[in-house]
Amino acid sequence: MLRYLIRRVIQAIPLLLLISVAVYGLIAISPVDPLALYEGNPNLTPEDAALLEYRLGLRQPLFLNLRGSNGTVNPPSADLYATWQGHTPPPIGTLPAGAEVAIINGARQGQVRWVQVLDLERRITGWTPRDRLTIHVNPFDSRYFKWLWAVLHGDWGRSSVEHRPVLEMIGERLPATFYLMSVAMIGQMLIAIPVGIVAAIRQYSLLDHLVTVLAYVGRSIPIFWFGLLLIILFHATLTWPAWAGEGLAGQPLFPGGGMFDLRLRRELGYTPWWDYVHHLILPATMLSVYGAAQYTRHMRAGMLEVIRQDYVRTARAKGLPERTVLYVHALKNAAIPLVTLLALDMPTLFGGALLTETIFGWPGMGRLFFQAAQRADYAVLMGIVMINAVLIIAFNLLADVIYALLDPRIVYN
Amino acid sequence: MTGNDQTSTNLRTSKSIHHPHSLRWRAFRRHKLAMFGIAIILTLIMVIIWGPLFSPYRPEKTDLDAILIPPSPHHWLGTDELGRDLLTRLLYGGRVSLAIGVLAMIISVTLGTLIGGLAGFYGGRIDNLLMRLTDMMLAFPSLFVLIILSLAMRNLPIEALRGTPSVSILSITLVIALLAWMPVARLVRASFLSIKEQEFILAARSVGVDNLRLMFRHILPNAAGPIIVAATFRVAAAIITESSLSYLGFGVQPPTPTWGNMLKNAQTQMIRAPWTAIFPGLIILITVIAINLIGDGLRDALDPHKN
Repeated sequence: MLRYLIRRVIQAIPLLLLISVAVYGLIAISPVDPLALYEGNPNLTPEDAALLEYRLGLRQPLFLNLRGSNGTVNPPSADLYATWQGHTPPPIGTLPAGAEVAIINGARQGQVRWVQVLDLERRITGWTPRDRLTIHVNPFDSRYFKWLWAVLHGDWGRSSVEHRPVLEMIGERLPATFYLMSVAMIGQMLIAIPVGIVAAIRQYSLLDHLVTVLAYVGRSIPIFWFGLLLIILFHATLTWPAWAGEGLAGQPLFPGGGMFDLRLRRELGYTPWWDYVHHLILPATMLSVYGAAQYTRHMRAGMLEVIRQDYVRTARAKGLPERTVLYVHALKNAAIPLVTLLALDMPTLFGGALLTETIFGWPGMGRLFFQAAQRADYAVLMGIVMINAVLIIAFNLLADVIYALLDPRIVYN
Repeated sequence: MTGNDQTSTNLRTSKSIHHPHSLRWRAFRRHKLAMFGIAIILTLIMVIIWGPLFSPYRPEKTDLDAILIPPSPHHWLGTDELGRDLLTRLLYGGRVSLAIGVLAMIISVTLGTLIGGLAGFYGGRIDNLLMRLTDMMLAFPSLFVLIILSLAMRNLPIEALRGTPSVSILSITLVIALLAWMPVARLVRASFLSIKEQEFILAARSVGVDNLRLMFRHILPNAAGPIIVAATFRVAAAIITESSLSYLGFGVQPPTPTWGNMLKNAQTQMIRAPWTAIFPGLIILITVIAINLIGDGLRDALDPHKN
């Protein structure tokens, strides 16, 4: 078992590296420009834009860096002025040995014609046609490897929008996600386990048929539409009845989004716990009912399989009360698939539910990802995807381990 | 002479001899829920194809005098915030959503069959490589990567389609397919592994049938059952994925209607005009349930262990 664990952990390393290369490449080739945010901003001079672009590393090579050595540099031509937008770049003569150059692709069409020349302090000193330089390939000096190196040292980069460390931003969103997802997960188990058990014990009863139909709908419903229906019903249609008191009567029964009431916070100076709970109910209901639809099916199937087995009959034959037989002997084995499933779902505790958080404006990880994708905030996207990939791999392994611990018939080697 | 005739007539009319295919078809036809699903899907397809011909409205035509009208005799399902007829848009959107679902299924099942088939048939190093690839794809946090992939593929470099709605439809189809082939590949690999050990494959090999023919003419038809079942469920999953992506704004771009981006549109005014949010979701739900019913029916009919 221990050797199996070690092997799986070692196997996960190249897997994670491959995933990071793939996702990094995908993000980098996407045509959404992080600088589009500044478009039309009169305070940003073209030089600033060029510098910002350089700082963000957007025009640097993705996986391969090219390093220039001595060469005579021509003054830049009309082509270059287009990139520089009318500003004359500082003229330069001979490139100092060991100076670094970054590639300028005309406008990302792929053909490399111009290089940005940097002096030893990495300042832009000018531009030069590429064919005058001797180019050495150095893969470890590319955007990806710089990112990887920084990540391995605990630096996940900065958001190109908020200019704050990615880890800090993720850390801020984590509590909200964890709060929502843990309540949703507990809720779905509280629904799924008893309902699944009763449906299995009373197979083909009215309740069983109802469960089957509801589970079918749950399997087929777009989850975000279910959320919209909840908002239409509990926020837009139903209001507090008159007996609820002066402040509440006529107000929507539940808030349609957010994690707390801003006005209330301003009035009181803090947010009381019941306001958090009030805001939590709709999104948590959306997630736990949807999740319960899937889990109930597994609980019912697991229970049905177990109660027909010999050991359950033996337990009955030796005179144990039916309650003990079902809830101690049968349930223990019937719950194994459910526990495994739960372990596989654990990453969402931290990764959040993108659709739910977006619909309800919940300030969690899923919504952070959604906003970052809209604003092409590459460092944040990369951070969230990689953290989730690690969690998925880790909890997959955990699920296998739990499975082996709970079911002695399973042996890994 | 007469006796012989008698026997052959008996054989022909005998009910006890059936080709396995006809048995399965019969089991499928007896599956009431699956037939119900087929009836829904056929009706839906016909309405989507012929319905717009009877509509007096165009899907993109805005009418500022008819904004957010509730369902009424003129607009059966009401209008949206630009006065566009919701039913007409639902029908056109259905063409796009169903087309994406079917096309994404075809691409992902082809890809999955190819990768799973090669891995299962050749085994060894090829199997190892392809299955590691599959594992990697499965470890992607799927919705996150779907969004990143859809950003990356927003501008497909196809000159002929530049600027047309087909670009975003085609790219979203590819995005969905590229992240959906893995379960099919695992399934196909498992069936190929077990079928290639059977005697008739050995027999075919011994008379000199080459690998390509073995794979496509001998093994694949015998592995078809589970593939067909998986393909059916893939269509349903692709429709849901498309609607989620379009709902988030990373799918098919407006003004081309799909069921998903109609829901995105609806979110801003659904409190005043709930019908704009209810109907598109309802039709997705009905479609997906119908397809899942067909899939369940096929699974029951094609499962050789059932009888």
